[in-house]
Amino acid sequence: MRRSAVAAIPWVGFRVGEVPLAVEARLVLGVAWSSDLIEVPLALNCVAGVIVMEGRVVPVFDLGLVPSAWNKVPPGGGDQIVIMGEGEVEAGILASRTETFSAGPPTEGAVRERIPGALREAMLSGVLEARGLAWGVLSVPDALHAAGVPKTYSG
Amino acid sequence: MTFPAPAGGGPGGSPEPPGQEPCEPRLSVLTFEAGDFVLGVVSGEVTRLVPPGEALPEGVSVIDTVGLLPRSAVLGRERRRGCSILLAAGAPGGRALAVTASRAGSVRMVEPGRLLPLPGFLFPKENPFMGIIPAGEGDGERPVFVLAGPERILACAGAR
Repeated sequence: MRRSAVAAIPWVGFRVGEVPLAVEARLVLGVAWSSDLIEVPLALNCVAGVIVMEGRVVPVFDLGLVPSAWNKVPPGGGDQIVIMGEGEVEAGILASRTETFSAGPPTEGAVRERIPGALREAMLSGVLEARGLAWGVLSVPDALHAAGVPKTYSG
Repeated sequence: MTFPAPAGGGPGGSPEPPGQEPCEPRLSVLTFEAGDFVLGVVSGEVTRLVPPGEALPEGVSVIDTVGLLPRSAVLGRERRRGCSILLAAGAPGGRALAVTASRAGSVRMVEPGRLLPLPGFLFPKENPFMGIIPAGEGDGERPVFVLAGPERILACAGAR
């Protein structure tokens, strides 16, 4: 009997605060340093700024400053920006310790027990195990909507 | 001090050079520092630069731009108010507006394509900006946030 093979998926992992999060690499347009960030005056508190990428303005959010995304809010900030694109949305998230790895598809359920740091379950689409860690798979549209991006824009 | 109106090309615009095909006119932007940020207004909307101590005309709404802006974590400069920039009313029946500035800058002619719009959802109320002119490569300049018309600035400041 042939064993069914589970295809490895490339992921980009990063930390918000100390919470390990991951998104599929196909959704990541790039990683920039936060020194590229342009502060935007009068913007919402959770808007870290914008970066200009190929002539387009890409908003960058500090998820650590989005209280509705967390059960227990971690410290925000980060020295890197993970720039994601899904559908029409292009947005960045402040992060640190970005890395890439391959792992199987995420599993659903029991997110709260497996992911420390108390990111709300609604922000996650599952959990995956890689490199000895449980990574919360970030639901990009839900996280951006919590930061203030309209649903019509974030998909 | 009166502020010279831009030459030709509509509000803030410039005529195309002689012998060239008509192209989208460049935008004339007056830059100014407001606290830690460099802002801009379309030159054609500027009526006057008013020095500190000089009274503004009656009926003019004043937005203390310098006081409104957050102190940049990066720059942390002083919130000095060096002058006010008097803007014409955007629409018939609209209010004339003055915004405070730390220091007036210079007039820049900008290709319209370099003015990049900012998404409205970045702001808690109205988006006060027409867009951002990113710092030019190698010119060492800071990005310029170009203010939208008086009505949007007033709405952003909660004064409308």
